[in-house]
Amino acid sequence: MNILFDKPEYFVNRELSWLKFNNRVLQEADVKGTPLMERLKFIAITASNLDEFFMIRVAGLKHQFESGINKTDAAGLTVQQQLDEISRSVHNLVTVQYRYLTNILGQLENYHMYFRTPQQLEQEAKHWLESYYNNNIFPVITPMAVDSSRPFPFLANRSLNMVISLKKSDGEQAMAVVQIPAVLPRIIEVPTKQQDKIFVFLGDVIKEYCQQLFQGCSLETAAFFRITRNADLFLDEEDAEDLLIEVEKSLRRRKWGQAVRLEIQENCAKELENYLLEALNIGIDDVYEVSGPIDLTCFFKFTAMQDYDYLKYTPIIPQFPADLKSEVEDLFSAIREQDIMVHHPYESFEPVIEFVQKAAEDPNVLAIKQTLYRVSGNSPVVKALAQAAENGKQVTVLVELKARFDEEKNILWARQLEEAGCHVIYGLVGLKTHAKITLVVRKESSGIRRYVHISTGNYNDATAKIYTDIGIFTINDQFGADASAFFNVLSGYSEPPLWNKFIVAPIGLRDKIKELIKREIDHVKNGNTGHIIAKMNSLLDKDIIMNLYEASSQGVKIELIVRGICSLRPGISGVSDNITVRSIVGRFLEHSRIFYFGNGGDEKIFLSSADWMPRNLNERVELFFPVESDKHVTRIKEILTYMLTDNEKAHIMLSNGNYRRAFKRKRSINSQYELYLQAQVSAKQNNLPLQQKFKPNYRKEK
Amino acid sequence: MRKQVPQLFAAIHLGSEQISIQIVEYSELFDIRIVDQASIHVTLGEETFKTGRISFSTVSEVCELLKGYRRMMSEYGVAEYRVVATTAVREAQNQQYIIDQIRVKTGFTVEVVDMPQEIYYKFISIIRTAEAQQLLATRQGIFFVDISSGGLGITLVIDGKIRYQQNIHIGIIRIKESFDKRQRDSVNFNQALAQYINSIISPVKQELGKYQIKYLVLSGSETDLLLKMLGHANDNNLVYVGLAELYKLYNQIQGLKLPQLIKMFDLSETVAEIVLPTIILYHEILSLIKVEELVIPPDRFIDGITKLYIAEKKSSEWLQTLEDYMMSLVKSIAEKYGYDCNHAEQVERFSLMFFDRLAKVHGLGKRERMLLKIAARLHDIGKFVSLRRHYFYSYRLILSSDIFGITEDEKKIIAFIAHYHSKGVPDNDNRDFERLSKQQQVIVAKLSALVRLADAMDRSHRKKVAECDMILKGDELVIGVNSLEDLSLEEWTFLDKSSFFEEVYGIKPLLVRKDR
Repeated sequence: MNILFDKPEYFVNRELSWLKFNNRVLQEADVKGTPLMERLKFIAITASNLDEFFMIRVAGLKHQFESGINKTDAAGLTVQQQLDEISRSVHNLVTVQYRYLTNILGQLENYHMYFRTPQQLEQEAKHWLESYYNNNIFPVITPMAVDSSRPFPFLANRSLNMVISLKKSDGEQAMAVVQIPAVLPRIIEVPTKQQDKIFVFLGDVIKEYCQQLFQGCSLETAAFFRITRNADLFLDEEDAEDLLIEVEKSLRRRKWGQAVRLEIQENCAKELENYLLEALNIGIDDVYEVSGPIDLTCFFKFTAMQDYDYLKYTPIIPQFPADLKSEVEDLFSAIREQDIMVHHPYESFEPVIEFVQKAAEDPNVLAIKQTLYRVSGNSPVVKALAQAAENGKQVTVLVELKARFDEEKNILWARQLEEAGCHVIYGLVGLKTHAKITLVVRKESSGIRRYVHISTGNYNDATAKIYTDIGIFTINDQFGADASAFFNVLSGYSEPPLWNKFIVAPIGLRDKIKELIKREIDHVKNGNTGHIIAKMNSLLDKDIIMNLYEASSQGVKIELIVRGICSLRPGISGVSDNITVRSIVGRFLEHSRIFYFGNGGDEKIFLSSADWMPRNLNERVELFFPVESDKHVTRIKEILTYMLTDNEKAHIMLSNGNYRRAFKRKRSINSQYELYLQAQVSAKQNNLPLQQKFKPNYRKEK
Repeated sequence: MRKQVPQLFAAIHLGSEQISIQIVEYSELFDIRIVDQASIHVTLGEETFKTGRISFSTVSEVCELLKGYRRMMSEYGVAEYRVVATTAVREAQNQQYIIDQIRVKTGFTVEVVDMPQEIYYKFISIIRTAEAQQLLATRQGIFFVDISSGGLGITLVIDGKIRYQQNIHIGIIRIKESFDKRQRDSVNFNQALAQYINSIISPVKQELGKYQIKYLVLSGSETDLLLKMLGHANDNNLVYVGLAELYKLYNQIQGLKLPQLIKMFDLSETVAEIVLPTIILYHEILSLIKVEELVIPPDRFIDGITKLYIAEKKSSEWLQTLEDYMMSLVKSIAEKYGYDCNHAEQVERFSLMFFDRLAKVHGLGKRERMLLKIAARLHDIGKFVSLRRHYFYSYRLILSSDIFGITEDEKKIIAFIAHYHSKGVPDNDNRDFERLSKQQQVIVAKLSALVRLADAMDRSHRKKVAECDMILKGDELVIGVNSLEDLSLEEWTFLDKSSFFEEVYGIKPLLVRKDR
């Protein structure tokens, strides 16, 4: 490895790069042409992103710092410096976030939607609200007084609270905390006779009427605040007898993590703020004063409200996949005919569900094996797997218990599947299984046949409507044998074999990527051209980045499409002149990982579940596989071309780590929109009534 | 014609270093497709060589794995299978308990094969691959050396015939466990190890020196390691390796310590530990005999199990090839003891004739016929030791010879047939004979009665009987013979030896000259 490229100034700090990404998402909330409700939703997304960022990343850095680790990252920043930069950056972000929010809420008034405080309401509405308070809210709130005999109460992670300073009748000062109940809707619609819609925040209602909770005291001041805690799971897997139980235990611990952020309402009385800082043991840099409602994730529910379709995106209908012909009745025979590619969400996820459902019912199917990382609520995939087991198929499911923030859900699925008779593997000790693959073994007249679906995205029908992912169905037995071997490794039956087609992290993926980059350099050295296009969610791995720098400096053209974190700096003279980086942030979450290598004219395309991050390459079970069909290679190249020419939703990364929107020349290109149009055209060619084609076989409920 | 629906078979091998499963689909011997396979590293061999037994906790782990393999089998709907154990289980003192535990916990019945059989399975698989890839075209010698964790099998094939076969208790893990950590770390270890290996295998040198040999075919799990260190791709073909390459590697690793080995060849520590014994063993083998080229086949023990199973299931013609190989080995053994070839051929011919004619009477099968054939070949080799009680020495020599392809029990049957080929009745006093099962005792009696009569028919060792036919009439077997010579000796001997036959079969054999 060329050490010339190992300089801090060539790298962008991971956390700051992530914050830039969240900022790009936030920018979508300020795009004039986007429907208002969607813009509001982008605000909610950035808020929820930030929550996660604090619970995991910031908490992790703080934990390091407190354990006395203050080492520098690739960009040369110490832990302390990173925390300082994060604090500054997030403060700016939050200011902008609330500015956009105020703007959007103001615009909503044009559509007769008004956010009000209880005082601003008319008499009649006030009456309604008071009775709502008495009937619905009062029974579930519990004020907690704090004094010398009663310590500051434990407040759950991400709960919204109100702190109140009281004066007792004897003149003594006291403090109390009221938790804003999470079980009630945060935004309350107050009925009116006009067409106007009036909304009030739950917190404001409680604040207005809480006097009666404190009989004999007078309320001095009150303020809302919210704390975010360290929520990373610390698992001792080596000693874990039963991973299922360990994860359950640590989930309980999650609520108790160290506080890492305090959000507090603007203009809060200084004494209250100081009081909270002390009680929560939190520094001033971690306090975020907000000029509006705390916890903007409450707008998720609001934007999901019925009606107001005119303030939302026209819904897209995932199209019937271009590769499936209408006259082909049976998915399995379609796969026997040719490899089938599905590009979600432009193309429907139904075939993937159907694949498992059909397999569950098909008398010739002997076995189904699948990895599950994140699944939707009431997942049809899980249901089909359970059904398959009940139908006597051999079903093996790897449920990744350690899928962050889905742990609780996954425990539930795992139990359900086990009860149905599936062989459930709870992930591997020390590695998260991130690969997405399904194997169906079928006994046919010619012998055993294996059908494989392998994808960049999770088996989650809900997110498949929002995340862009590519999946391939194939009967190619080199894939089949690899799939079998892959599950044998996951089941502990076998050591990793020599693979036919798969490249598997953490065993050989890093080396393979480096080898592929190296091959492009060799092509340049041999007088050919070198060309790499890599699309992923995050690019963080220093080793790989240095290989890319090397390739760039040798003349390989590198076009990166990195949605989120990118530690690589493009356009540094002598280092990355030949590298461009763009990030597409739009209506759909870019999630597919696509890797193109020019290979001196013999172009190769790979798909993968893995980002180029150390954790994906070192600590996860990931798959990276070649796209075999020429037709699919052509198609994926087209997809990449759309992305590389996108000038509406693309942001171009600059050498300094900042991003600017792509310049528009003549025609404006929104790659996501174009791909959807294309899917519609292909579906029309296939000319079939979608509803008729897809009738999932659900078992009749009793 | 509609192609028939392939059948499925699973082979499971409980090895010393590896537990593996192979699931195949087949319609014929030449149409085998591996559907799935799995293999996992274990240390059963180390445990057995070190402590003489395999602990119950290890057996439990093995059972868990086997349950997984069972699940794999049900995922494909496999019903036919064999579970075979080799050295580690074979040499464990608690073998019976291990097998019982596995049976109780997993439902698998484990067969334990002895060393010659183990080597035989690999040999036949390699032979089959070699046939397909034209390696056997040469008329020059091919020297097969198989190194397993516990044993070394040496087989010399010249022109389709086995000329020499020897199995030695010296394997990689066994070597490694023969020295403790301190000894292995000593600076003199390489030299000491070379001398140790040399002392064990040098007798082979005298035997083999006289042959012209072209290929050394090297098999055993460590060949993967060798290929990796030599930087050869490891696909499913024969890999040809120049001798210079191996010598270069040998010189390269001399004097390297473990950490250097690990780094240089990207090995794990456990693997690196066996590099030295492996390469030194290879080097010593090469010093035994001059060869032109090294060939490394992809075949493993488990492939042999699968191939033989399918060959037997499909009654493949290839079984005859295998029998020919085995008979060529038997002949080589007989030659080693200076047997009378003509006489043996006569005895073999008549014995088989009796056997075939009496098929309905004795009710024995193909396998027994082959045992009879081998016994007929070897019945007199004891004369090499002593002319007095030669039948006893034949028995002893057979017992101590490795005849691969037959089981230890089968070898005992052959040895007893030789023992009782001339006189005595197999029962009463012989305690070793008592140890055979009742069924095996009957086989010995039936077959030795045949050899005894056949032997009588060539009592003079002069091949006097030219033609012969046999007719079974009621309880008389009339053996009609043609000869140009006087058959008095044969006739008298026949009469003398026929009582045993009568006792076993209830049939009176009559020798009649047809030309009179």
